Amino acid sequence: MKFKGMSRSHLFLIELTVVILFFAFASVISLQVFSKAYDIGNDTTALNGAIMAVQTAAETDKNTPFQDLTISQEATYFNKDWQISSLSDATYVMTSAVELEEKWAGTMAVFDYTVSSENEIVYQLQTKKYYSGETTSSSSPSEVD
Amino acid sequence: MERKFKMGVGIGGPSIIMIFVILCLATLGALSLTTANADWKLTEKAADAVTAYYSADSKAEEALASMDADLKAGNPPEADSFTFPVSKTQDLIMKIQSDGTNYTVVSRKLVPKSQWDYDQYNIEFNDVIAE
Repeated sequence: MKFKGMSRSHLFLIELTVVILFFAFASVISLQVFSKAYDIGNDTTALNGAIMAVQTAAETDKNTPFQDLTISQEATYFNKDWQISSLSDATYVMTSAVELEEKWAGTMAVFDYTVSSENEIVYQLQTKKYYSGETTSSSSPSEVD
Repeated sequence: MERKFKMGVGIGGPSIIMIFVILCLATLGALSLTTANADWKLTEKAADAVTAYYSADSKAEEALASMDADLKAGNPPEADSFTFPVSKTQDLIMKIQSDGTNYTVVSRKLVPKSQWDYDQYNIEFNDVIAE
């Protein structure tokens, strides 16, 4: 087959141009897929770490004696590898709040945990612990603002 | 007769290479997205399980508070074992012991809702041990 006025190098260049254009288009789509997978992976890491941190805090608090409970709202900071860090290095923040509900024969401590990252809530949990025979008036836990 | 020996990529070569590279990219992209999605679903399930467990645990604590109030009022507990559903397949079972005015939590266990029953699958696994 002969192409009048077109040499082999011309045809090769035209094909190369078309290939580069198509490759660029396909690469953009592929990069978007990789980016989406990376974002999902980051979300998974965040949720996994949040579950671990909240569970650890919940079990520690539930085993705290009534006298050692502090009615407060505390913030714990974690870096991107879920190690406890300072505020400046923090990627995640876990706020834990303790409230005491007076019951007929004791006190119910309600623990609320919220893990957030950049003002977006990652995980939330509420748990309770009943202290029989303990009242806030008899042996009141220290209050911290 | 002289023959010229040509080397180099002819027409169609770049297209074949591009198709190969794009196929590789698409396959890797699909695989990474599938893996990431599967990991996310698993983590979501773990989060749901933890939330459900602590929800049942809170109900158990509420039950203890109610029972403690009954005991202090002089009413003995109606039962010494309480069951709180955690999920479709799991229950939280709490056993208590009371001496009339005080209670002790004997055990608090996460147990499957139904035990595997051999007799139910007797026909499927009807093994005959030949002597």
